[in-house]
Amino acid sequence: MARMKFLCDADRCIECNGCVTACKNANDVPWGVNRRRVITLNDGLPGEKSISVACMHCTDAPCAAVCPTDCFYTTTDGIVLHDKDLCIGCGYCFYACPFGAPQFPTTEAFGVRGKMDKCTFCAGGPDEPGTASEYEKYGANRIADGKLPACAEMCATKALLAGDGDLVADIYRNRMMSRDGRPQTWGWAKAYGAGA
Amino acid sequence: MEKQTRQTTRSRKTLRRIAAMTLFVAVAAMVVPLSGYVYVAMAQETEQAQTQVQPWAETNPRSDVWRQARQATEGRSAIRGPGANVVMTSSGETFRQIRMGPLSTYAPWYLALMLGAVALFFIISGGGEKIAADSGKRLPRWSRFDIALHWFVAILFLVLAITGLSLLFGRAVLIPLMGPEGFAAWALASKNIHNYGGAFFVVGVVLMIVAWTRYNIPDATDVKWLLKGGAFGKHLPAGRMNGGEKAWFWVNVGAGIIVCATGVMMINPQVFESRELFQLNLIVHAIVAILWLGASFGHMYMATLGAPGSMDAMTKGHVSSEWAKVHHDLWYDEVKDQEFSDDQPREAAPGGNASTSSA
Repeated sequence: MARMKFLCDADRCIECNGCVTACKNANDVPWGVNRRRVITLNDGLPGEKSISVACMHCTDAPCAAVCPTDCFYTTTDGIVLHDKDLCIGCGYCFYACPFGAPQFPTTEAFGVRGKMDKCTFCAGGPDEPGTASEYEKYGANRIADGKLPACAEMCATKALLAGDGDLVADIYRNRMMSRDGRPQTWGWAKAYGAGA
Repeated sequence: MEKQTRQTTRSRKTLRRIAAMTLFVAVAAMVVPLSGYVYVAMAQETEQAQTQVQPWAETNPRSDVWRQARQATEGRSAIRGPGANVVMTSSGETFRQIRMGPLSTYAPWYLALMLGAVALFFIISGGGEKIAADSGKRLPRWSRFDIALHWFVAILFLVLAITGLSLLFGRAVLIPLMGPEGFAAWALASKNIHNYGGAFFVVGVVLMIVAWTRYNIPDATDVKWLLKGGAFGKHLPAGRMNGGEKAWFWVNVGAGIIVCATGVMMINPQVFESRELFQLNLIVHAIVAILWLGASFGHMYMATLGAPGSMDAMTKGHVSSEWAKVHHDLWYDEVKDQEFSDDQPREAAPGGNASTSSA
């Protein structure tokens, strides 16, 4: 059984925000809601790095733990999804999440939070896959079509990887090992000598 | 002649000695300060040795980036929103651990313990003394405004307690009873009732503090009342409000201010938009509100079973003279000239301005 994971290769990310745009386009995400965002650390300084972050689909998800209505569930692929029919828009998941993934449309009166919206790993929701109601509430269900999330598929530099954790880890490990001669291959010279 | 030569030799020797000493002092005066350079050079060498990055102490620049990300370093993001420029924070996990750990574990025990304590006290004491009101004489105690304010706050307090507890414990208690869909509907209603009801509750609490502080300034009588066990059925000297009632009032003031302030901050996330502040507010709000609810069981008991006849004060606005003599003897002495007879219509009673009569 696959265990779905996101991985952002910070050495490749160029902060083009293509993943953010691809996500918004594929899922028809409402204005003001961003399921994915790119954060640049040390912006404008030597060694600046960008990281694309969305829901990380935690194994022990804090959002699911604090939800008053217990609306979260984890699929057999390890994707954390939620049922918008049960969500009451209390916001606790946003305050528990380490990544700031849950988002709330604030279109109602007095800025009251609407139902929570977050990255679904392009796996839709509890509704029947491919139905209009599923698309309206949760966006695209690309997983049901055998496709990976739109953000990773659209990434121009292939910095953002999504898919089975084992495969993603293999790809990343190969990249790391072939980045020889660069300062990032830290520890190599120390372990094997400068010429090795 | 010989003597003269001896004298010259001695003076020459002295001169030479003085010259040597002077030279030594002069050289020392020039050389000794130079040792400062040696000291500085040595110190610099030590410092260099200490600060020089040792090969095993180097950090991986790639790891440093992720370390920054892990430690909630603020970056820059094109996306705007609270915490949008931070990759990871740990405070949410702390919030989760407290809310789902100690708070969810001890709060029900505390509420059960308070209910049990009240029930036990009732069983042991058999309830408060029933005071016969044979004379039919009544004393005005609360004005209509006071009564309306009391029940406005009391009803909202219970409604907010029920909806708030539903949001905290509904997942464990109500989902098995109502099913996920049924509970989701109730939880949504609870959230809205709690949010909008809370706004009115804040007004009520503020009015209560403004209107009733003057009756509740503690004095020596109250300390004696509390220390000698007035709360446990002994009839001790008391003014308009006894020590227990004053203590409950100040519990309301303290808990009210904390619960209302945290609540106002939580329903305005667009103004108080820090995640850490909300996490703290939610925990403090829940803890103080539950402590407050537990304390209110004592108040409810005293008003009904603990001191029969007390309820009249908040329903009719007046109490029997016998009740006043037993429970608030000092107040009775003050206001006994306002006594009126039971059969008089309420409007004719001098109780219309009851709240000011004894201030």
